[in-house]
Amino acid sequence: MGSIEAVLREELQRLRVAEKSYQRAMKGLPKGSIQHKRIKGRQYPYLAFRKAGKVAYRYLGRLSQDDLKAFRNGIEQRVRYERLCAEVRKSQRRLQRMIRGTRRAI
Amino acid sequence: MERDAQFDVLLGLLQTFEREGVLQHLMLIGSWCLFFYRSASPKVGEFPAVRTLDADFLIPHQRGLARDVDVPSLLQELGFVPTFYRSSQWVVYDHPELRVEFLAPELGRGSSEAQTVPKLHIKAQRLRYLQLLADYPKRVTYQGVTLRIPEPSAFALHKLIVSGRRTGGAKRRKDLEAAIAVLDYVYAHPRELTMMRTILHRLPKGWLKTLDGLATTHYPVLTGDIRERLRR
Repeated sequence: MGSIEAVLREELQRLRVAEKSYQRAMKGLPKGSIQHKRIKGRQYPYLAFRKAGKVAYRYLGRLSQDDLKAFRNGIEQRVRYERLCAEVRKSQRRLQRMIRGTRRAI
Repeated sequence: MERDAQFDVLLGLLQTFEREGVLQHLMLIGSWCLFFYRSASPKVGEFPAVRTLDADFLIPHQRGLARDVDVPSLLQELGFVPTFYRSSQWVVYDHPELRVEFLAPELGRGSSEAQTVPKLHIKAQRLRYLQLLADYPKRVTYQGVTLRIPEPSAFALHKLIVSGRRTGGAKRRKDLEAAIAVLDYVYAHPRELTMMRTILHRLPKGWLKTLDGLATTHYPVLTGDIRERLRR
């Protein structure tokens, strides 16, 4: 195995590990968005998310402003991780093509 | 993998660490140093353009750490995700462009477990010979960020010495290439050569003997300086 192929393989391995880490981290983060429903003049926070192609709502309970902010941060972090995980997968595909290319060149 | 995107992630990380007062307690080691040596050198082509996707941060010692900073949270805000190694309890931080690792010098009998750094909420992997880098810091400023990297001569000697401990052929080759390129630079600059002789003068004899064996095969010019020190 040449130097370049070894470096590419090492990076591919790292990206596979990174993908798993992103997926594991996303499991612990909420999915969807927060929506407030007004019932009898009072606002109640709900988590809106897709379940089997349909929009579902889950009541979040009485949350303080800080808890609500933390929950919103969790959603934002999940969205960020989803985007980065997609980048990781894209880089993996590119590296696989590069490894095949190096082999053919040899 | 793209150079600019990768460097932007590293620069963003360095800026965050500097803003939070963490960077002054860390030293950037590994192949990224070549980038900063190259940027500080007026001559083009003195250092190879080889870099790795790992950004290795050395924690020379924990004495100066006074402030409590949640480094994992800072990294997660930048999009990094923790990856756990259960066997050693070590944690690294992955990003599509970069992996961040924290390292600490392994002293005495050593330990297979990672070293906890409570003030920074991180775990650092202990590795041999890192004290060689920690003892010879060099300050560089790049795009407004001041960071510590090892002196080029310490970097070269460290790369040479660890190349002898590598089992993987590709990594060993990469270490040797980096060591030889920086040694060429050291021998071309009197100030760097004086620094390297000072370092050699302070190294334990066991390390010098290891270096002598490696230099004989890979960089014979260096053996003269090592043997002179060994004779004393």
